[in-house]
Amino acid sequence: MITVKEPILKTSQKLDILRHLFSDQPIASLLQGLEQIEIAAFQNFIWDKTIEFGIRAQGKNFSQENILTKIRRSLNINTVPEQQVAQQIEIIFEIAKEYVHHATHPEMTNSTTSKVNSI
Amino acid sequence: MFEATYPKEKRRIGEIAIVGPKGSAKQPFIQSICQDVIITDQDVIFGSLKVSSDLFLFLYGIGTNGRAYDFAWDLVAQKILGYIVLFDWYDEQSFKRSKQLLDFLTFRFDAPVIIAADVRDRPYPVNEKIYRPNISLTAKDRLTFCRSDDTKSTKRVVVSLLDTLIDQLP
Repeated sequence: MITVKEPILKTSQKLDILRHLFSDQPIASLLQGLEQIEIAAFQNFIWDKTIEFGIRAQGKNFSQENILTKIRRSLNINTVPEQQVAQQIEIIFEIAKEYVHHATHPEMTNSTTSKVNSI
Repeated sequence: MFEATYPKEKRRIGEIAIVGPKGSAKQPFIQSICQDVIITDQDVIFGSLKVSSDLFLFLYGIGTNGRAYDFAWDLVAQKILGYIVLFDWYDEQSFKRSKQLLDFLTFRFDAPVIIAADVRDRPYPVNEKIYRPNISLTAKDRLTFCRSDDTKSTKRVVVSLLDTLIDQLP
């Protein structure tokens, strides 16, 4: 008998992440109660989408290295190890929001240009 | 009339299921894109779209109450090219009612699923640069936005489904 394994993250969970992203809601509530393996899948999905939206928003100007720099700058080294992944996810999620906001409201980027360009 | 004009032996048909919670905009979606539409009730709708002289797309609008009946969907799946799951982006209840069926369709069947988030006459939540042509959730399942009564918009959703189908070809 062939057994098909369910995906770690359901499609509805991924859709929930994008709903929170596009409506500017915090991500913390979606992380509650998840197993470690689900959190890792969560992080992978948000990372992939952040890259995707960064490319869509910035085109040739997009740089993955900028995301890594921002993550390193934003991480709190005093955070306990168990919470570091959750912290990373929140940081990456906020970066994704900035890309989406930059693409959706380009007229507002004059006041936030330096912030976006530093991503 | 349809049968007389386009006899069965001359037709090639692709079939697509448009699914969503009761009250979702399956009817305007199908009416915006199909030349012939039959409405049995609010949640059983059939539309046919003529692609060429002998090629048709049949769209079946199927309303659900959120529960998935395996045996019925297994029967439907044998003929379906793909699924469009339609829900109201701005209605939290519409999204919640779609979740169980969405997870069921994306897990159980190999056919692609396009999740069409309907904004109706309200603004799109993000710029089209972010969501066009679609956003991949898995290798075969994608998210896009649409206005369910706008022909250009609904056609893009159907084209997204067909593109995803072709992308899956070996």
